[in-house]
Amino acid sequence: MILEPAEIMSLVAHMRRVGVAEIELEEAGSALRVVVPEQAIAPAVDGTAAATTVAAPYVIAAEACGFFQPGHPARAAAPARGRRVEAGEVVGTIAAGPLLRPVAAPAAGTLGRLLCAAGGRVDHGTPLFEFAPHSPSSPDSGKRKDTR
Amino acid sequence: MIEILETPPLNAIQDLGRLGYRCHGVGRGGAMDRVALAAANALLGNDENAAGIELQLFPVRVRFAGDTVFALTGADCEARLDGRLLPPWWAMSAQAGQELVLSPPRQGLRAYLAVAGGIDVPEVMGSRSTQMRDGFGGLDGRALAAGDRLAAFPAPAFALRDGAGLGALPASLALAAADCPQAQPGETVLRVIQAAEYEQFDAASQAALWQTPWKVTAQSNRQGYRLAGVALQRLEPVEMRSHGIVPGVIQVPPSGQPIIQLADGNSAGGYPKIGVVIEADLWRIAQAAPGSALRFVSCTLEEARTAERAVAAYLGTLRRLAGYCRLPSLGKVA
Repeated sequence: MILEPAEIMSLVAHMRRVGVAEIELEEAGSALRVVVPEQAIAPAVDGTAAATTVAAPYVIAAEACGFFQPGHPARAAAPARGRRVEAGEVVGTIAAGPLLRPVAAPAAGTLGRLLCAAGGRVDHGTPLFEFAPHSPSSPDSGKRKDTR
Repeated sequence: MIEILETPPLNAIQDLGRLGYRCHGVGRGGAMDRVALAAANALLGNDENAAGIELQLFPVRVRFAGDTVFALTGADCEARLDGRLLPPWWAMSAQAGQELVLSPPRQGLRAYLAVAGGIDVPEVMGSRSTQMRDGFGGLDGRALAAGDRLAAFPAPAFALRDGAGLGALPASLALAAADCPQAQPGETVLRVIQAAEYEQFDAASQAALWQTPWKVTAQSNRQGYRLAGVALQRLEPVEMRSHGIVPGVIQVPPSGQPIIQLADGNSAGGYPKIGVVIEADLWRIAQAAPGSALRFVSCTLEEARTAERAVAAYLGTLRRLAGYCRLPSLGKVA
């Protein structure tokens, strides 16, 4: 693969920010085409508002086979819809026997709806969470926060 | 390399213990929750007896002085690596300079921190565990203190398949406790084999052993847990000679309030023994905090062996599957 999922998410966030709808990359015989849904290219709004008003147009999918658990089987609170997460944050686990593999946020963003029941059998690619990546914070948005 | 930035007393280096020296008055010692330490080592592909750090008191702060992979198991201390919350029973990479902070657990008591390769301290009588009472083993025979720097043995270089790490299903979820219908939520259920003096206790005491809760008192530590409950009485007091005892033995002193001998317990004792907690359940005691309650369930030797095999299967499968999540890498893991 040309890019890791996290890098694609980061790329998508940049595309949203600058209003690019589609790109294609080719390298050494492999190709990647990224199409951003129109409603997702809307100019970035205030982060808090984005979390509640912008739909979560992407999904976090399983990267392992096993039984999915949002959060962690030994922790009571599973990450809820609307929860803001950092890139790489573990938002769920996939159990194969006694081994747990992580379901991690591919970028900083906000979790949308849960797409798979707790305890559900999942395979590579099974959608688990809706996900809305945050636009990379620009110097402008930083300023807006400071002056509030 | 790990640098201890902050630690209360009583946190020390432990492995699975020191076997074969009981005849010289040296008990097993080692990790109180052997399953948690073994699981941490399994996640990292370490020798199963590699030394780690047993954490009994919090908060604890450590800094990784070099890039490494670490695993944290046992009580959930809501650990944060440079501020990011980690799942419990989790292993992941740490970069030089990153700080790991552990908070007092809301459930359970003891946590275990292992690093790839295992902590490098000298073996004393076949073990790297700290025998604090006698001042040997571990790091100069003492508990860890701020400023201590611990080295790890060289480990085969590997990278983790998932950048976010990998975890083990906690033992409390993976290993079923015995059925005990009268146990209340939060009580720790332990399987117990009747010991040599069981028949010397009166019927009411025998019944109370199985049917009443036993409170873990504040006089409970690595040496043993003193319990509070119904006073256990023998039909007639008989003096006994001291004899060898092992972790898990439930002694009944004249007060009638039982004592469970544990990792740092005496190698010999003369109190009558009403039972012994099976090896496969000793880790549950390690996670039972003072103020909580224990329940005893009668168990046969065969059931105890089955329970031991279940622990071994859990750890063996974890080790095998975790191996698929490590990829050889060119970078060296120190």
